[in-house]
Amino acid sequence: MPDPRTDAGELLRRASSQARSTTQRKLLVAAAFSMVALENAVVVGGVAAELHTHSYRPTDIDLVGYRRRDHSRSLNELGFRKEGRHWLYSFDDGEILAVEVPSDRLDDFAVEPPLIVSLNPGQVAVISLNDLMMDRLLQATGGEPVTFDEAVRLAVAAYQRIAWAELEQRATAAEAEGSAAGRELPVVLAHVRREAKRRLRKQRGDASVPTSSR
Amino acid sequence: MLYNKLSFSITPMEERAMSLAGQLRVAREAIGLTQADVSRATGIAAPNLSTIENGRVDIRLSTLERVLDALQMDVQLVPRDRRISLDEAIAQSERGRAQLVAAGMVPSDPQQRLAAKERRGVDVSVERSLLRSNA
Repeated sequence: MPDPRTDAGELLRRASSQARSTTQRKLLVAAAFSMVALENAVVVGGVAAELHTHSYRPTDIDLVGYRRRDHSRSLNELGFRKEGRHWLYSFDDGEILAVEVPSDRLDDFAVEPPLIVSLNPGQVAVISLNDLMMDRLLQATGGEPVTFDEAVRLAVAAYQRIAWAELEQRATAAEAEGSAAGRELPVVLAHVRREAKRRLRKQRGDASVPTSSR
Repeated sequence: MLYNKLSFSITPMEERAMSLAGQLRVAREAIGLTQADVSRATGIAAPNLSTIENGRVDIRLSTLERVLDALQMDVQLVPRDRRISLDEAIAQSERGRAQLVAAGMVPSDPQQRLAAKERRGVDVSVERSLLRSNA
């Protein structure tokens, strides 16, 4: 079986010399990290949001996945170093990227298979758009204006691709489960969607509203 | 719920075998079974299970079904439209940004996000330091 560290090293070399954007570089680093350190790795959080908005400016790379037995040794060999809860990777141009594995699996709200981005060699799985939208909505139930803004930002960037009816069903189901966040979810969803529509109407300069394809 | 945790996509042969093999191990460990437990339930020798989980064998469908039965798991195929190239992913993100710009929305402010995270009690010193050094 080929040593995954060989392909991971190639991904890091591409990240160092060929990445045309910071998003591309982060995906390549996420893939290299996943290849040697994790099983069933999925990119979540800011990098996933960046993939739909290109204006999120993530401060780290969040991955979920089960850690492999020798993950620390493999990551050290690739050039990652541990600092607190992050693994840091330094590029020759001075940029340092941080990877965090906050959990070994997706949260229960995530019900769709992830999006697979082919990298040749390798691939990286990214949380689906609808699951990411649910994540942003759940975060927005905390009442922080910045989390509400982030949910609206994703909604505006990807409005036509989001399955709003499906999200409403999921929010209603979460409400029935009775958790504090679940109870607020339908209201937050409605507010976020309304604000996104308002922004998009303003953009078009008329009263028409884009529709979801589903 | 298991669907998202153990889904796999149609990929080139080598990646698919490794991905499925890895997922079998993850699934077994997730429900707290040892290879010996699965060996007893399926009649497959433990060393052979190890070979399967390491992706070192071209597993027969009937063998896979026995292992899945022991793990109480099903395989579900993922539509190919869940797979995109890196270039397509980047193009998609740029379309999203164009829509945000057209809607008059400014880029997200990482400092504000970190401040909110800090208010929830999370140590963000590494992220702050990287924001400064990568600026």
